[in-house]
Amino acid sequence: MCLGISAVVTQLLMLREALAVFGGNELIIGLLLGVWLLWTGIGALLGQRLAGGRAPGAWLVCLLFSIALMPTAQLIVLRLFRGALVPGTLPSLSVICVGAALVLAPYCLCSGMIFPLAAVLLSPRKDAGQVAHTYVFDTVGSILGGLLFSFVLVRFCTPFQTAAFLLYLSLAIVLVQTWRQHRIAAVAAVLVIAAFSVGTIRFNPEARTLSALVYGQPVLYHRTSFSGHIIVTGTDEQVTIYENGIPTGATGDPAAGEEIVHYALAQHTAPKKVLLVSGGLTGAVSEILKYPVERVDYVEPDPVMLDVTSRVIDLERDPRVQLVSGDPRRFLRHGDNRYDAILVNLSEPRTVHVNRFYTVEYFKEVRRALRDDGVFSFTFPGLENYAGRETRLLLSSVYASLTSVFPDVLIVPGRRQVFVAAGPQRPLDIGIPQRLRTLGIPTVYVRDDYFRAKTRPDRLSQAQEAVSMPAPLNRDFQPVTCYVHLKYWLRQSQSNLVLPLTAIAGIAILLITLLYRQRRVVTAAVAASGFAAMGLKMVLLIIFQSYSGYVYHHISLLIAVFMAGAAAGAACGRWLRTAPGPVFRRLDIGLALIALGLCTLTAAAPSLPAALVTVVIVPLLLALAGGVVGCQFVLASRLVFTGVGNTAAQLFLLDMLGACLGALVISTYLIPLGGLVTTCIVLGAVKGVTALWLLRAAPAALTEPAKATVPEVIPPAAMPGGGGGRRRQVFATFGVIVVVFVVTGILLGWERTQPWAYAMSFHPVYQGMLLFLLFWGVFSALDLKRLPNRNWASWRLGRLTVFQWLNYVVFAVAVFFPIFRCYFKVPYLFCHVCPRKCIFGVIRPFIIPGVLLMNIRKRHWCYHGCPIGAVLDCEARVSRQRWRSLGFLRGLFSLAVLALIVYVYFRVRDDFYSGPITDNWYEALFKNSYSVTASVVAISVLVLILGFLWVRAFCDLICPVGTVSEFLLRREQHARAKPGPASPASAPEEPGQFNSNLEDRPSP
Amino acid sequence: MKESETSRRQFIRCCAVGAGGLACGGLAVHQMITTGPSTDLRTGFQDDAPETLDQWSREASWYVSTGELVRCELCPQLCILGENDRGYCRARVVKDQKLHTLTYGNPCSIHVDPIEKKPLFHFLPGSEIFSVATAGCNLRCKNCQNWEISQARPDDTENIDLLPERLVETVQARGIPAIAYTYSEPIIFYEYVHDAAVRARQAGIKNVMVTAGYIEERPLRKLCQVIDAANVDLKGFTDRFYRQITGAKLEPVLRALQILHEEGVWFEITRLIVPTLSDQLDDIRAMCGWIVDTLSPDVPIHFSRFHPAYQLKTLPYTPDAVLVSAKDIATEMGLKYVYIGNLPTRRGQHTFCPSCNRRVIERHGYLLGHSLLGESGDCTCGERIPGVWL
Repeated sequence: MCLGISAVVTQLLMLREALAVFGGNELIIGLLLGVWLLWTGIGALLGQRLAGGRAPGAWLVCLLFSIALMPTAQLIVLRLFRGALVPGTLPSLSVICVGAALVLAPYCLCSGMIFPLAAVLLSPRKDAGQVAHTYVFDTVGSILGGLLFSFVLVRFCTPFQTAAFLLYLSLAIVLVQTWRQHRIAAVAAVLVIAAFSVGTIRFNPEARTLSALVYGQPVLYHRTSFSGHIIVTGTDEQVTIYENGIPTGATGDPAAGEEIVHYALAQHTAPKKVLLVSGGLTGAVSEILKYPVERVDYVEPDPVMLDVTSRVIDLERDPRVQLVSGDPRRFLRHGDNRYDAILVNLSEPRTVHVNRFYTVEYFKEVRRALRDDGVFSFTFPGLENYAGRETRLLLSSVYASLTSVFPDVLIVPGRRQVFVAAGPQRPLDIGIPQRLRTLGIPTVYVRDDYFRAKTRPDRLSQAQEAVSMPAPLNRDFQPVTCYVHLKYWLRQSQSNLVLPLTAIAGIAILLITLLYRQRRVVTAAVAASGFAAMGLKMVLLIIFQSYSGYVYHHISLLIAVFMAGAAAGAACGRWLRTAPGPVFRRLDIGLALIALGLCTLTAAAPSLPAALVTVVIVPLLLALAGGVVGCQFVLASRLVFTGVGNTAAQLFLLDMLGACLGALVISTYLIPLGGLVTTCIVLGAVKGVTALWLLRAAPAALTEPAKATVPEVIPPAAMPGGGGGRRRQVFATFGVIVVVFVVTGILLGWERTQPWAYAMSFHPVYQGMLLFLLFWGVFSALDLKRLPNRNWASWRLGRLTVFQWLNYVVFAVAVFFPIFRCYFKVPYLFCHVCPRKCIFGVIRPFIIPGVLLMNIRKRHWCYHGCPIGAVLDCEARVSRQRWRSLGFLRGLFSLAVLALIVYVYFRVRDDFYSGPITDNWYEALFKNSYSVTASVVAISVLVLILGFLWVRAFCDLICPVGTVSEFLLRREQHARAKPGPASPASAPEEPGQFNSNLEDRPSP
Repeated sequence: MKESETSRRQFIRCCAVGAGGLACGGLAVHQMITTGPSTDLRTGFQDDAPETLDQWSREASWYVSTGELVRCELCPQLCILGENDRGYCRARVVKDQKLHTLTYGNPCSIHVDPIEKKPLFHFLPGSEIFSVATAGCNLRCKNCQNWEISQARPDDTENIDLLPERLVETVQARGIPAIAYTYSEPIIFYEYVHDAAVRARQAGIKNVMVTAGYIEERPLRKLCQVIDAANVDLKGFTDRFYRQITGAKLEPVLRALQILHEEGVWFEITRLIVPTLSDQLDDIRAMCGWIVDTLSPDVPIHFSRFHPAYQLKTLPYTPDAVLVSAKDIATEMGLKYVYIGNLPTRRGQHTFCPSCNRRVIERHGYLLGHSLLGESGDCTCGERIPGVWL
């Protein structure tokens, strides 16, 4: 339960911090949530292996230590990440994807690993009931954690204090668990607590890292609110308020305050009651008070923001000003005031939440709250000289929604475009400065001086043209503008949807592969339920918000209701004594019906009383959906039980992957493009498919396994054996190899010989030799047994075959060239954009596919052709190499490196087109000259030293060809091992063994 | 199955390796024979040119063709382009081994602005100016206010057919005294600017270029023959700032300013002050010193306030105090005409006579107030204020 609390509090804490660092729109929120769920699911999969390993208890303690320290470390890394960007810029989509994946991975993996470990360890029972037990307690912990965070921590604690709370909580668990048996761990926990407490007091990480969020500007004030970080910075006479890392207002910009107020109020001869929504910091309130108003209601959605704003500028000085904190829509709906003017200054419709202030329904509420001759205005990002397609679509979508309610709309063009709308009784006039002169209102910016230039006929007609694109209406239940804004944002950040779509496709493929391998309808239903539950939660929360406005604590309670439903459902499933199969099937059908029923409710929602929807229907449906999902999880654990750890991990992974897919797809695409009704239909259809599958499934698929308790056996990886040999010959070979390496290095690195080496490398004869050897390599890899090359491989000089020597010497220049003289200082990676390609860059398009082809046959290139491989082989022979395998961590690391390489490949290509030298990290690489750098040589030496300790360290960890080939080899071994019963002849060949046992490696 | 027989899996693998090897080798040999390694020098957007050239395409000036490669010598980006490649500026493509401009007579944005908006305070004050811009830019400023034009391809924007002769006719018909090539970077529609400027000059219309000054020497000297005035954005005074924020280098911009000065073109300098990135007063002091020493103390300078825009959205506005400090430093360093822009508080907008310190031109935003200057720019004290006044 404590782990559940810790997980959910960390999730909320990290996602809020990540939003402050990365900026937040619906796509980014979906991505962050998706990354979180994905890593947690993968963590569960890894935890499964640990649970079946030698010392799961020790692993659990280690992981508890890790998750105790990680929130603090992640907070620091996240904030410094922002400091590492070019000041003022938000990261691009690709940086966000990679940054979020890297920063969130450690915690999520560890927390995911704990779930199956805890399931195995924390109870003596070893049946499916234990999975349910763990699930129920985890969910109850999540409810408590969510409520604790929303009602206590967010209000009273800074992020680092919350992280400290998490540390104490995790280490308290360690203390309780280990006090009796493992005193060392307990003492370590106490020491860590003490060290952390002293360190936090001594170094004050909150203050130190906070300035990174605002690029080192002096921080005057900082508070956390439900919507995120509120930071007030001050530079000279100007104060800026940052909300989640984005400036939302500043003093000292009279133009902003005047534009919010005067364009609308100048239309009214004598406004008495005015409502201002946000924007108080710009001085808008004092601008309103220049009119003979009787009352100004200033509504700020965030109470902390209101408090901060009223501290910066004394809002309460005038008795006519009423300060209100709360959701503006809720205020409009529940207030019985009617206004002469409503002035809104909210941010762009980045999220569905903010989009509520640009919908037809909202404009209707505004119309109702206005007097007949009242005026309404809001600001929107506009255009100065030209509007691109995305901007026009965005403006047109908002304009179409506005004009569907207000027939008369005036657009004042500019960088900050202002829409002024009124009913038929209030004709609108563009001659605003004249009206202000008549009213005797003094202004600084809204005067002929500037206004005439911005309202010239050509600019007015351009503004009108920009809103005249055919665009769908923006509605509460179909927030199209949110999606249009996403496209606008992508255009602005010079990104596209390729990366998120690839991520979605990748997760979908992963999910389908997992489901296909298991071929179990039950697991497919669990994944689909994870997807549907995520969607239903989003839909219900949107419906709730459209009725009752956004109230943070209400939303927290609703999520708690969903989780409580899940816990209750899981408990019911745990205590169910009948056969689980039919109940599971009925629940699946039930979830499909809930989704389809919600579709009807969404369509009928406008006609239903608000109290019925918000108090009864939404909580009830949330609890029901949660209950179904929780119960299904537990029943599924009984149906597919293969051991506590295995089952818990498998189902957890599938549930998380389904939810991850939901987080990415539903909020970003499905809801904005299809609307709530379509979303519900899709969710119902997804569940309908699994329900139908369950109905048609053979009875065996829905019955419990015969044995309730299955031993968990995961054989430890076989440790490879070492080789021996004639030591003198071995050392001689190694000596020659190193000499060739060093001589090549000198030839390439020394300025006097380098031009000669460069010219030589482009000589047609040399290129011809390279191609010939590549050909021959592929030819050898064919392994045609009757061809003469069969015996040539056994001609050895020293400890290498003739062909290895030949390959080594010929490829040495091409392969080592980038190591010593890469234009980008990182060998092999940037050849596709390199303006001064070396020979490797030229042959890379052929050598990479060529060697991958060769490697189809037992990594032929790696062991017969690659010069780096030859060096590492020799090192392997002259050393003992104690580090042979790190199991899945090695695989994880090499996959991470591979992913990084793929990312860099595409990122650099992208950057080179859109502005290469403007990025810091790029500039660090792009030094515009060939030169030998200390870093490259140092890394080469490090790899060489590592080669003495670890068999083929470079190939296993860094080389992309090695990683891919290793993966292919494993697949092949897996396929070979699958068909028949295990026998010595067909036993899977452990790659580690293949790598290390050099004397016995298969020769062609 | 006998040990020596080839299994189906082995056979398929052999076929895959063999076919792949042949394809790979064939491709390599083909490439070696046909192209050779020299084409790997290409920069810019490869294979991004439109299928066919339209009516607004012309053969570009300022390029050299070496074999299959074309080297654009218009700006210091010095793109090396192969067939069907598009330059870094997005406005120049290679077709038939010739460099073509895609922006000859198809501006995407045209407006009439007050000349003070450019800003030009010593050039025909109070008059209107016809402003044109085409898509594309040779810089990548992260705070570009016109990013929808500058970071777009001409093929993607909605353009207006306005060939040089029609442009001049339109301006003449409206009775506007000058044309500004502005908003995006006029250097990238060089041929259009040049031809329109020649015709405009013949028609008695002045030509103004609002530019970042990132251009090679020879093209600029030629353009100076037909341009009457320029406003040059000196975006910072460190190479680091230029590389980090604009994707360009500082040195060519300074050289361009020197050339404008040598060629006698009237120009004013705009310096945007971006908080935390380019608001160091020492840096401003160094810049002012350089202007006084290398150019002239008579060059007007506009310190402009930064507004969050495009990708630089999380920095605050430039505080008034910083702008005022910059103005004080510039005055202290000997610059005679120092202004503050983008600040609606009238501070630093008027022109004062450096001799008698009298306010000779009064400005209210973009509107001209009272002026004491004579037709040739003489103050009542006899001091001549430099600029183009007629």
